[in-house]
Order: sequence, then structure tokens, then C-alpha cells
Amino acid sequence: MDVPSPTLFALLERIHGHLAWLGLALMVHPVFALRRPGPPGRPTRTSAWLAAGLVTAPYGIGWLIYPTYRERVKPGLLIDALPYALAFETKEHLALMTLALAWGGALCLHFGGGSPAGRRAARVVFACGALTGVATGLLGIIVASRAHGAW
Amino acid sequence: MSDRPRLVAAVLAGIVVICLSYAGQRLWDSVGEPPPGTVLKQATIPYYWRVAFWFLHGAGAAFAVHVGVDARSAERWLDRAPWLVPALVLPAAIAMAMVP
Repeated sequence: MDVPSPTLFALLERIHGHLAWLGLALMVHPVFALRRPGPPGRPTRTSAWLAAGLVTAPYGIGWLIYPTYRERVKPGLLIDALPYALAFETKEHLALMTLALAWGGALCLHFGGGSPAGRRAARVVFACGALTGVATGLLGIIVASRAHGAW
Repeated sequence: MSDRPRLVAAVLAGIVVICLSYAGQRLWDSVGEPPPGTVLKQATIPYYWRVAFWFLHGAGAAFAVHVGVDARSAERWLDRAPWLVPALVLPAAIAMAMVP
């Protein structure tokens, strides 16, 4: 999708970032909730699925605005602020891993929530996802401070 | 015997392979790449290709584990997941931080 104006690009970029941090916050919940023994309750299961969904939604928005970023923002960043352009690339890699880990954690909890081993697996997958997610989010904030659409 | 351990093991295999596949592809691409900043725009978007292969590799691994691993073996692997998953996934993430 070619975003027609810098204002719309900035709006989508902010929604993308805010949703991602919400998803990340939800991803941390099962990490702590699954420390308790016994099968997870409905809130933990719900937060696991919501985390997967709320990490997927900003990823989808990212795919929508990526062609515009590539056309209108990235060349300028590469010339004027190379470290920020490289930080964006790292953010992309880590975001993909976070997405996989969020869905992996939710699926592990769905299939294995009834057994201690399944819960431990889900917890560790969510914990890894939270780590890569925090790194992704911090890089996103850094890149957004410098990458502006201007056309 | 329940099918659940095999399903969880399949999910874990898929996730680990997804992370390793993506990191491996990126590291492979980085060999012989021009220095960062010297190419302003590429004709293709390697990221999309990596994601496509990432999906195929992950789905393939999950399917293979689900079909090829019995429930007892799956349970043994699940016991190792708390250290095995971070041991495989986090180095891949660190590698991605080092090769943008």
C-alpha cells in the first residue's frame, strides 16, 4: 500500500507502535501468571491469545506501510542517519521472531496448558518473546525519533 | 495416550526452526553484501523472501515432529524446553542484532 500523505504515514506508524507495546505488555502477563501451579485460568489464556493478536496487528500495519517507508523514508535515512536505518533492519528481524514466539506461546498454552511441562514450555516461549519484543520496541522508539515521512 | 505433548513439541519445533531459519538466511545473505549505506534501494525485497522460507521451514518442522515423534519422546523433549528453547532462540536474536 502506498500511503498518500506524511500525516497518514505518521498516524499509522504511531498506531503500529502503540499496538505493539500493548501486545508486548500482554505477553508479559502469562510469563508471571504461569508461575502459579495448576492449569491456567481464563484470564491467562485470554491474555495469551490477545498478546498473539495484538502483536500480529501491528506487524500487519508494518507490512502495509513498509513499501512507503522503503520508497520515501529509508533512502534519506541511509544517507543522513545510517545507524537509524540499520536499527530499523534489526527491528524487522526481531519483530518477526517476536511474532513467531507470541503465537508459539499461545499455541503451547492452548495445547499444553493442562500439563506442567506444557505450561513451562509456554512460559519460556513467552519470556523469550517478551525479551525480543522489548528489544524490538526500544529500537522502534529510537527509529521513530528520526524517521519521518516528508513528501 | 494424549496427543497434546506431540502438538506442543510440534509448536516448539516450528518456533525454533523459524527463528533459526530466519537468522540463517540473514547471515547467509550478509556474506558478500555491499557495505551498509551504499545501496539505497534494492530491486527485490529480501525480507519477503526470508519470511516466505521462514514459514515453510517452520511449518515443515512442526509437521515432521508431529508425525514423526511419539508422545513419550515428545514429553521428554518438553522437559528440556525451558533451557533448550532460549539456548537456540536467543543466540539467533543476538545474531540479528549484530547483522542488521
